[in-house]
Amino acid sequence: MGFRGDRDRRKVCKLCLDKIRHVDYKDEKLLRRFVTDRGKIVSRRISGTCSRHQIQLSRAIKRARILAMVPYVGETAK
Amino acid sequence: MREYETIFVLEPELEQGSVEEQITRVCKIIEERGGEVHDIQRWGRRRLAYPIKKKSDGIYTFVRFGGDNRVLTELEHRYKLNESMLRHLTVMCETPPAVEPETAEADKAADADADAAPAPAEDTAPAAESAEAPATDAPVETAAAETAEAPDTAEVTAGADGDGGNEATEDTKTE
Repeated sequence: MGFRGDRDRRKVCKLCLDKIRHVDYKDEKLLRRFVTDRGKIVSRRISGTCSRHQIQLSRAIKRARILAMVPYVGETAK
Repeated sequence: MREYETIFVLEPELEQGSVEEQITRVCKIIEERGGEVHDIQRWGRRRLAYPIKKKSDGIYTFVRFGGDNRVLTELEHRYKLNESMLRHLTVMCETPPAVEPETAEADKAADADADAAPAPAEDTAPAAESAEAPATDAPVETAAAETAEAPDTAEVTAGADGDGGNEATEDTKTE
């Protein structure tokens, strides 16, 4: 069934690769990698993060939003 | 007693002195109610991701402390009354103090003892700490360092510190 070609290649969780135990809401740089320029949290389907990290990520991003470290609405969407 | 961390964002117009005053005020609230301040990090002025009260910058301060709910309720109450507070967040610490912060604290304590020799020892420790560390390290860097530290040390500390870790985190937000 080779018709899917390269697109079907399995994604690996970037956070697992980086051996991140716990996603910290203070780590703005990291969180920004998982937010679109509209400010949306990137889905697992796109980013390939594992379940555990995605859950941690979404929580961390939401906390960081409260503190205005990460946007609710991205710069381009305003 | 549980380990919490709180971050508050102050208006950018505040002068250095009044920022310090706010910080000591927060520490006082914690200590008056039987808590203990473990760490203070002054992140300084940072750009906000979105404007708050028509302001585009804020002065960030991070405080890590031990305490119980009496501390939290009072802290939240005071935060809400404070007009120059743009944002604040208090959560339970998810990562038990890794090896790095512990040693750092030990160093600081040693320093404080040496510096504050004439004054009564224990009580002045937090004050001395805050005075001697106007460390405006880039927060991102420290955070990165912490997370990088995690894999090796986390298991040990997690084991030692037990349950406090992953679950039951308390979020608090305000407008």
